[in-house]
Amino acid sequence: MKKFLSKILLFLTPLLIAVVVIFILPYNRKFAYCYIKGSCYNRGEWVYNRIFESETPIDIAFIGTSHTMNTVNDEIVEDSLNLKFNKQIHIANLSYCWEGLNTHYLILKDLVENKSPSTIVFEVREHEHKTDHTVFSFLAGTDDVFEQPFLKNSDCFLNVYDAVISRFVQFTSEDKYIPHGNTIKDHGYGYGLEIADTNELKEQSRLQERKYGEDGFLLDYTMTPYSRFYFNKMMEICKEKNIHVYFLYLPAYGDVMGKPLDYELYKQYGEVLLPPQEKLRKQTFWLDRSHLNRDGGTFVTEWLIEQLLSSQEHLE
Amino acid sequence: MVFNSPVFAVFLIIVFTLYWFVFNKNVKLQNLFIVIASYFFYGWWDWRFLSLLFISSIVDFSTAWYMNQTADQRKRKILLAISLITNLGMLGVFKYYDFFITSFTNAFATFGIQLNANTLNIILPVGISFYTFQTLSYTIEVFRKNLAPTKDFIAFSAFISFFPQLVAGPIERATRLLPQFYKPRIFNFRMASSGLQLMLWGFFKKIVIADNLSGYVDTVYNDPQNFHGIPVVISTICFAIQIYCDFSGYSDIAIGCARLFGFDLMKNFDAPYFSTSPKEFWRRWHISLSTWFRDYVYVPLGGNRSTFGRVQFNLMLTFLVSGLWHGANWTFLIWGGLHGAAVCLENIFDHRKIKLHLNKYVAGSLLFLFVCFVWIFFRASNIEEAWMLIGNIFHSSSMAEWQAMFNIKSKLQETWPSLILFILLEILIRKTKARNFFSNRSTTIRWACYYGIIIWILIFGALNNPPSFIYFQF
Repeated sequence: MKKFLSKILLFLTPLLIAVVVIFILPYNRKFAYCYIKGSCYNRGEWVYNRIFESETPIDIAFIGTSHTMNTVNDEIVEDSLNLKFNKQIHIANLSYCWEGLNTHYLILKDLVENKSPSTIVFEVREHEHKTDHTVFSFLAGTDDVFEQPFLKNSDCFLNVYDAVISRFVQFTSEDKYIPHGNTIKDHGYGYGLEIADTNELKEQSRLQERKYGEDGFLLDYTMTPYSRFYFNKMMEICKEKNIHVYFLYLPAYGDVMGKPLDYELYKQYGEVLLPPQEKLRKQTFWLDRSHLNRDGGTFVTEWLIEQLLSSQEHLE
Repeated sequence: MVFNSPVFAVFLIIVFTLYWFVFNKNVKLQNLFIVIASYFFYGWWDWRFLSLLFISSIVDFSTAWYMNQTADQRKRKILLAISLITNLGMLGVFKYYDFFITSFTNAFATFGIQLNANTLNIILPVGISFYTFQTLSYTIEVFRKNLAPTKDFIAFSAFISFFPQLVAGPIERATRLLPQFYKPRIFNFRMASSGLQLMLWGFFKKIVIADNLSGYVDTVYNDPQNFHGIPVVISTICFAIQIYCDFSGYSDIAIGCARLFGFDLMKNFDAPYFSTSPKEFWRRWHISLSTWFRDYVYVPLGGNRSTFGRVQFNLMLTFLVSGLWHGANWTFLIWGGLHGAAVCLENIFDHRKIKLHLNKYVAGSLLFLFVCFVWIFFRASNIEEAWMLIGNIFHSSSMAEWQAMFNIKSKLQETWPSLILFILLEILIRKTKARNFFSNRSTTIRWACYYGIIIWILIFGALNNPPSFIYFQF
């Protein structure tokens, strides 16, 4: 047994050294964002370019999931605010598909290091569950990989493994993932034109009722310690950089609560924007059971503009 | 918990350490620990189905025990029937209920009779097809008086739930594996080393070959109406390689993992694609399952102790049941039936002393093509798609279909070097015998090979978000 264990340790030593070296060496941010291409309509590359390479500033950023991507037309918001305040205010919808505050944190970190936003609008949902974002381990720098709250989410170990792999891939095929010479557009709104199926929306409505209705089984589910960890880190950054914070509530179709379960928490850090859910119960506004289509997005964008215009002190 | 995951690596390290350093005081303690670890392993997927594992264990332990307490053959048969009904009943409900209900209603619908039978959309418990067969081998062998029933419920539970082979085999026989739980396990360096070698090879087959080929296979088989000609042929050949590497890779990892704990599991694959006849193929493919069906279905039906015609009937029935074991779909029945027909045809040729005098490479190639053809039914979602693909083979393909073979998602381009390496190594291992392949080499050469395979896995393996093992669905 001793011989076996000593041989195993001896064999693994070079591999362990290689892993340590892999984490010490710099992790190319462009590679990280481009490595996740193939997910979320190759949006990673655009988010990187907008934050790191575009010379256009970002004054107001939207950070969220595909809900935000399909809802907030940043170009229209920008035009409206520019008209109102008679100055150039640059707005970018930096949302990325799927839930996971850990990845929103990473995007926020990159954003404040490269741009100087004055306002950030964070998407919030009915409730934040544990979810570890699919691409977190590929985007995370070494410090972020090892600062994960390992005791709060066992997926953190898997993230370390994925981080090793992505760094190894960077060594062997970095050029394969990094494109060259693409035009950088300023806005990230993406929309769909289809209209959701009636039965699907009815089913979603029933599901919302079961989850968040009067005896809903998720009513006690406020933010998990894991998500809270990243939420706190984001709020600390915003406070440190003097960033004004909004929270934009974008639930699925058939919302019965009107506001998120963590509403009181969010209120402590910024204004919670609550689109009129009753007016959103229109089939023609929905792409599927949880995403708005272009018409729905336009409705919420116009509502959002009114809300932003009414909170004008920090925007002027 | 799948083998190719970091969670399993952590689990294995912890279990190995505790097994050999804490629970090594005596056999009973080690067996108890195996039960705990195995139930944890299984429960990681869905703890609710641990109850099925426990029910299966307790029913078969009890029925075998009572079987041995009576000489009354009628009572013994009743006890055996209880075991069969419990295990096959669980299998039937969880795996086949929806299939039979749907087939039943569809059959009536063809006569214009509408039935309102509801399917249950039951979740299929992982590994149920494997552990029920394993536990049935125990009661059947006790019934046949080939095995004395065990008094040790912990050893028996460990035999049923042993985590390396719990969810996808090899399906061990009680006569072979259960006695290993009675003997004290003493750490054996060579056994453990060969176990790690086997696991490494299994991971290579799974992560580098099977998972990379799955991209292209899925591209064609998930969109059968849009693929024709050579791309269909290539994707089918790729599936043949994928399923072999996936399943034999899993078996290698299971066998290798068991060796780390001092257990010897049976070989499950013996280079089946090097076979030159259907019967030889089934002596080499999924050996644990094919021998199980031979001993517990074919032989009780009469085996080869009947007229020639009856023997072929027994064979066909066995193959049909074997096909159905693989999945609740008519495609699996057809798959099994075609293989049964091929074996029967070979028997007819032998019976009539018809010799084809084919060169072994020609025979092997023809057999491989036949096996690939039959895999179409295995992989297709339903009979219609299978026939569509077969028909599409005879149409020409478009440039877009060829391009789909080489886009990033298919990974076919990247996998060719690995495939060539894999085939060369398989031939080498087969010729030199696996146990001699590394043991006669110096440490430097062996370690260089190991590092080479690990680096190859890291460079060419489908490491991020890999597909699950194919046979998990059974």
